[in-house]
Amino acid sequence: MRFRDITRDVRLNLFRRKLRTGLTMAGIIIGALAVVTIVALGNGLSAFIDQQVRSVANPNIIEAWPTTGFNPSRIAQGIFSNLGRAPREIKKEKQGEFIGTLKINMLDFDTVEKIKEVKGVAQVKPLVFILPRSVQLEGDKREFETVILPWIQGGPHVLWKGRTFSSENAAECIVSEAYVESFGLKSHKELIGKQVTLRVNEHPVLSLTGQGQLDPKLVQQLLDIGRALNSPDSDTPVAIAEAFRLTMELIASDGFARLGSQEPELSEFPATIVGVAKKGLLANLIYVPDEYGAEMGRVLFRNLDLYTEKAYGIGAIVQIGDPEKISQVKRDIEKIGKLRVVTFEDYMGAIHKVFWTMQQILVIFGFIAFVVAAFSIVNTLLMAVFERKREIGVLKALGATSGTIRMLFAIEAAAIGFWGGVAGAVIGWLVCFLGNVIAKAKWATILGDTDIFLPPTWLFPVLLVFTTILGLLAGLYPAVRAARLDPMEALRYE
Amino acid sequence: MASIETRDLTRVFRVGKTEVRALDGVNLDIEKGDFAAVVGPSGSGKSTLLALLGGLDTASSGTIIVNNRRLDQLSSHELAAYRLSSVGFIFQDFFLLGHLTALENVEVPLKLAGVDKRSRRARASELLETVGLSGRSHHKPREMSGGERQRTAMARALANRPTLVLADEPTGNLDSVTGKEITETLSRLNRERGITLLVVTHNLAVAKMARHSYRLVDGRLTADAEQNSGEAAK
Ligand SMILES: Nc1ncnc2c1ncn2[C@@H]1O[C@H](COP(=O)(O)OP(=O)(O)OP(=O)(O)O)[C@@H](O)[C@H]1O
Ligand SMILES: [Mg+2]
Repeated sequence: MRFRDITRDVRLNLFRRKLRTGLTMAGIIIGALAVVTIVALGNGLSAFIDQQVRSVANPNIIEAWPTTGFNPSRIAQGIFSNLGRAPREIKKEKQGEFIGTLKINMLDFDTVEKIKEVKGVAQVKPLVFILPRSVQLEGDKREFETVILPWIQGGPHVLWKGRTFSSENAAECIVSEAYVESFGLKSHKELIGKQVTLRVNEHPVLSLTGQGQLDPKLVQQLLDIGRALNSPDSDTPVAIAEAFRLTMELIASDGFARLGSQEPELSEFPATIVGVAKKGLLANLIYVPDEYGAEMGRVLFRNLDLYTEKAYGIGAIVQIGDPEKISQVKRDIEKIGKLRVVTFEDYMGAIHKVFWTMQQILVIFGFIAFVVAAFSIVNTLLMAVFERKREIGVLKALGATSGTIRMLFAIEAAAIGFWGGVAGAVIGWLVCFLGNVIAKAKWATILGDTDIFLPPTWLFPVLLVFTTILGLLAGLYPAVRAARLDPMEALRYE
Repeated sequence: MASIETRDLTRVFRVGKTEVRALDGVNLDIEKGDFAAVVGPSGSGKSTLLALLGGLDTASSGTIIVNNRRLDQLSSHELAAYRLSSVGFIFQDFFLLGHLTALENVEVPLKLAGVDKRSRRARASELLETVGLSGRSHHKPREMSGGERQRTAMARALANRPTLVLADEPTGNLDSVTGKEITETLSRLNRERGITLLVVTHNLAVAKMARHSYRLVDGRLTADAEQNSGEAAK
């Protein structure tokens, strides 16, 4: 029998029982629909986030951290990978993995010099953290939330309107277009030239216990009091008077006053808006010149030496000359040793990995539908074999081989898989299309013309091959049963 | 030259612990181009005999030679090929496929043989014409009379130009007039095309039209070939 005739007969047989065929296909359709929409959404969101992050960040920078000391991801890994296991020995080279041995290490200047010498490095700057509280427009009492980034983390491609900074420590800023709305202005043109106040927090915990402070002076004062009270002649009036004097001195000190105050201190930085950045998903961004940013960063740790010749900071940002050479530069910096080097693409990779993992988990649910569908196909075909027993007998009497009969049923199952896959893919594609239309209408300002549902083209052929093979496998057992039927018995069958 | 030759042909069915000897040492010789009838009461083994000769069933012991080939030595695949190309079956219950038209039913064996669509359409129409049914080619079995259905089945049996046609009680579901017409058509095809025709029946009127007739009782042939005056010869 020709393959074309087999497929034609299969189509006829499927159409003979439209409802049953449809119901059997439903499982495959739902599975395919789920897989298409989930993969499309994951893919679309991933691409969207990628595009958004790229639009506000500088892809030509590399971060370099000392490998020893504070490493949040290592600590998280250490904790989670060790749940339920016997406590590990703290090894010196692995201190970064233990929360109890947390230590913030400064990058040493030698290393910074070595990084600067690497070929392809345009400039190296300390990695500055700023904890902004708010931004305030001059003459407006309201405070608005904000994220302040040093200019090196944004980069020239972020600038949309206006100009860049006049110098590294100019009291200027570039703000996101979104502030037009917050400040109640009409257009981005009104933003440029306006005066704002940036308010920056010191870190509530770090300022007391962290790297820069406790104020060493304060600690010294406490130690002095203790020593005075414990001295051999501690019960002499002289010693008591000395302890009392020291205590009064301590109480009067700045450091002591700060210990008591609950409110972290705020510092205010004036800035003139000189440029506007296009609004993205991260709409509350304000960029400041690198040196001006460092000044704000010093507030966070209340350490005036930070980001200066005295203390470099806990990491470095390396600006690359030629973006093409980024991975080579990364490798060369790693060769310096004792450095954890992270590129922008590494961060993006981590983001994409999160989406990819989520996607995989969700796709499993789609596969549950496929498993159910496979059983339903087996069931339907066993029923068909039973119903068409006499027909099978007739075909065999007319000269059909067992192989032909097997083929007829196997192809029928494969056709259910294939057409179910096609229907699911088409419906899935429609859902994606509608989803995009609705999403764009609802979040027009954020999305622009980005598709949130982005089904990758490879998905469709892969899906069809999968559902077809699934159908075929589900049809094998019924097909073998049909082929094994004894023609005499099948013809005798009432 | 014998077209069919069976020696000591035996078919035993086992149902639980009891054995049913449906055929018990049958020696049958039918010549090429003959029109033979096997008569016998119900349960005598007629259908079993046809199934064995048509390669639908395999013997418990004994040999079957059809057209100089030992059927008992063929594989199931070869038996299928034998049924496809050399044998045409006609059943009492017609066994047409209900969802297909008369024309499509006749096309089925051609389709199994891998004939392309256009040629099989042409051949099927021609066959329906041969059995006198050209006007009904697009009717489904349930829209046809018993006689028309059996004519369709005859056309189907002839599709791949078999050398042997095996008919199991072809008139069993028909009235006597229609039955006679069907038998006459079979007889004509036997004469005109030189097809060996074996009809199994307990209808004596049908048996009389055959050139030779045999009696089967309890799985044994009781009498040798009985030379009929042969209404078929008319
Ligand atoms: N598959 C089977 N299993 C068990 N016994 C069977 C089977 N097929 C046939 N028989 C038995 O073999 C015997 C012959 O059956 P067969 O169908 O050949 O008779 P028949 O002559 O065709 O009868 P009828 O005229 O009623 O069609 C019967 O006793 C029947 O019960
Ligand atoms: Mg019978």
